[in-house]
Amino acid sequence: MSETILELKELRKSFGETHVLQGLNIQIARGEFITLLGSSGCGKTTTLRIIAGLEDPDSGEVLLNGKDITKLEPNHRDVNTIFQSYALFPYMNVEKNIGYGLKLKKMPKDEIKSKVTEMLRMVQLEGYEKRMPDELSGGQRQRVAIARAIVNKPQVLLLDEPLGALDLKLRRQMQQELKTLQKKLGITFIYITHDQEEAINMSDRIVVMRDGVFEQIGTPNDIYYHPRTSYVADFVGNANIIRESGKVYAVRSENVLMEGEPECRIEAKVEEKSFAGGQLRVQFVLPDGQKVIASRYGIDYEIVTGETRKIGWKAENAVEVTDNGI
Amino acid sequence: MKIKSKAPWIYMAVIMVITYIPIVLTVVYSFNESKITSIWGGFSLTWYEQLFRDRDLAEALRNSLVLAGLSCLSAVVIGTTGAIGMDRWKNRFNSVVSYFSLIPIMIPEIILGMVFLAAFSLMNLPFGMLTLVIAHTTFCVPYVFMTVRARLAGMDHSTEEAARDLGATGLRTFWDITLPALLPAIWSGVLLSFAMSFDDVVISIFVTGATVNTLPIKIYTRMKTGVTPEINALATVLLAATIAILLLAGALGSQRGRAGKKEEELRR
Amino acid sequence: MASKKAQKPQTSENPELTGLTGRKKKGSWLLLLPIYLFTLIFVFAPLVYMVFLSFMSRAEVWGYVPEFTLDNYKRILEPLYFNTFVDSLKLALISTVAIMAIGYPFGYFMARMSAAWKKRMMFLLMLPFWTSTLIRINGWIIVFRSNGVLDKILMGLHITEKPLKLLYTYPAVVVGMIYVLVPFMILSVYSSAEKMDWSLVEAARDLGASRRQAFCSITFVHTLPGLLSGTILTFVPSMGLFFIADILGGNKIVLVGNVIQEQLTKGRNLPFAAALSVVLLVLTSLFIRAYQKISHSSELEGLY
Repeated sequence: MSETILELKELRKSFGETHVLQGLNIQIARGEFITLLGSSGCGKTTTLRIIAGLEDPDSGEVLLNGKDITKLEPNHRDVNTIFQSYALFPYMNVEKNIGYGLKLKKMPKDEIKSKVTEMLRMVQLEGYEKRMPDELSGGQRQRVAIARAIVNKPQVLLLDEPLGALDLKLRRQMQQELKTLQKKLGITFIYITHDQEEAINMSDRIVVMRDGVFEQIGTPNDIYYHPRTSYVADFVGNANIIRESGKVYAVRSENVLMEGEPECRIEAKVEEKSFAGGQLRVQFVLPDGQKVIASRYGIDYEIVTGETRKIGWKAENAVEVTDNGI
Repeated sequence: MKIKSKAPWIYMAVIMVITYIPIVLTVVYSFNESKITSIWGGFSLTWYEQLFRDRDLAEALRNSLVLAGLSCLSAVVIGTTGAIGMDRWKNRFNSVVSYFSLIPIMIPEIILGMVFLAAFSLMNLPFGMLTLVIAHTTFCVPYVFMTVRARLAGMDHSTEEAARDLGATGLRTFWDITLPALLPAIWSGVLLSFAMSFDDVVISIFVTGATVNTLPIKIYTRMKTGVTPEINALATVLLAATIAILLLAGALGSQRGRAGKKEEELRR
Repeated sequence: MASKKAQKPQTSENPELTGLTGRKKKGSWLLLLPIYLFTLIFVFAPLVYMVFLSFMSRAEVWGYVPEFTLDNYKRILEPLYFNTFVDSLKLALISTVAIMAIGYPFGYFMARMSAAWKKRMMFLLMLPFWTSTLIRINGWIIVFRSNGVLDKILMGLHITEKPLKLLYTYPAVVVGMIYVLVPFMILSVYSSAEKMDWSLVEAARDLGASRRQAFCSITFVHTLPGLLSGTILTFVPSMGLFFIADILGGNKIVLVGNVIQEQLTKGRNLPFAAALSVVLLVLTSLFIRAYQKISHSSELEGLY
């Protein structure tokens, strides 16, 4: 791996009795797009806030370029954040919002102006300089927030569910734009989301987080095909968790066979059939009560609710995982 | 939903008319030649002439303006810092202190008057402008404190964090982000405080010295001593000033609004 | 979460103030200093001193003699003073009921007006509010004076033969109280009716409620906090507004406020005035507590 830009060492944090972070360790490389993926309350936002300097850890270190910045005020860190709510300054227009960081660095006015114009071109908002935040649409605000952060050329950009408030179509579009932007600027992105598709689409590496612990760190491929725990398998791959003679396997629904292939050895009853997102989903109940979901593209399957079928999966598609619940 | 029947309109109109009867009568009688209000002696500006020559009232007016101004200023400092401080540094004394700080506007004014009279003589404070300002500040603080606290409770703190994140120091953040967000609340607190202070008789009577008179005290003593057409003239002048200020503020506000809208239309 | 964190003692090398919710707040206590000190010295301590005074004996000229006594409180039970309490409560009660009857519908209708009309009404309400109370009371003198405007009108319409001489009577004081305090009721009711979701009323009507039923079960319940806080905002001050009784009632109507004022100015009996104030304070606190119990709210609606 290339040069490390940011490192977390044994980060711990609790709020009262709740241990939000329980010893986090990671090294992040320069120019990497890394995603913290987890459901709400897993501690991902707290991690981000500690990196930004908006929250103090109870113990542990944050190293930027090998230097300990744990105690540094947020304004002294070469790290910028894009907030979930965008946090645009309501009393400043777009130009002043974007130029705020530069103004604080005492950059000359004309230089600020040209940088702001350049940024607005980059996020495709030319001519919006004088607009106030409340005159912008959600997507436009998002772009201003991005411009306001990257105009400072930070070493690391933190993004706290930046697309959470946008509708699906706009989200997909912004995912692409952010990814392109990141490649172009070469800035390290630390991205937070609870959406596994978003994480898989955008990231170089994904960190699956649960209850204040980094459960698995790896490339999207790794995480998807080789989950280490039942939680990761379920959360990222939507896999069936099957317990069999003391062992636990993860089998993703598209790998469940049900058309009389040689691997189909288990008798299962069709409990439910539904169609969603271009896929047919069939829920089976095994004799021991476990539920297995199989999915196929298309709707034309002659499967009747209540009938019994033989199902199964190829050995290579059943990944053995550590059972830690789902 | 709109009101369909006519009855509510009539009802509200009647209440409004009754509300304005004493005010209109005051204005009408300020131009009355006769000293006795029950007789209309013809149009005259006598009382205005007398009013503008009245040094006593002029001084009382000045005192009242200074008093209201100083009380508002102290209330802004105490109320705003208090609200922000309690928002940032939460501790178990905060609720007790906010409870006590609100007492001055929750209890009958007469009690405050009595309490201050006793306490200020115990503290050996010279009765006059100083005691007046302290007393008025106690009942101005709650208005500023409560409006600012309500604003802070509804405020999105992430903008402050964003400013810090972009490199602003704590003080700079306060100046650039927090204060502009709080200003409307501070203003509305100040307006209320000013009105309350400018109008107060009960507390002022107890804490003023022999030498300092506020306008309400002066009006009160004159009203008690007898018929005072001069007061009608004064009332008319104050009313005119109030209307002018309110209209001006309204006009400025709507002009700004209109300008904003125009700009937006142009952009489209 | 942030509050839990904030309760812990903060350790930070940098005493710089921050606007952050989760970090380094050393120095913020400086912001608390003014309000803490001011409230302690000029509100809390004087109130304690008042309670202390009320148990002291009267001094010859001014001040008190440090001898514990309950005489001041016993004296309040004398018919002369006890009756002023009863009278004050009665006047406050009459005024408050009238204010409710007048102010509630006004606030309610106002909340249902169009935005433009709301603005106009607010202006019309605020204008008198910004005019000196005394001056507005002075206007009523012109109305009530013997042979004044009201008498002239009534006699002109042949409703009465002789002047009514309403000035310096009980009704004049009641009118004065209502007049000064009714805007507070209107604004409280308005602010709670304004916040109400009117689709609830439509839903109730849709489900078969009559106009009256919908009002009782939805509107009234939702505007009750405003009504209650308006009641407190009018009832409490009405017991202390001695100058209204003074100006419109002459010397005939004596309220607790007047007695306290008299004891301080003419009687120069500080301990007794303190005892009267304590009793009045206890009475008001009881009303406010009752309000908080009923409305489950610690703040008064429409107060600002």
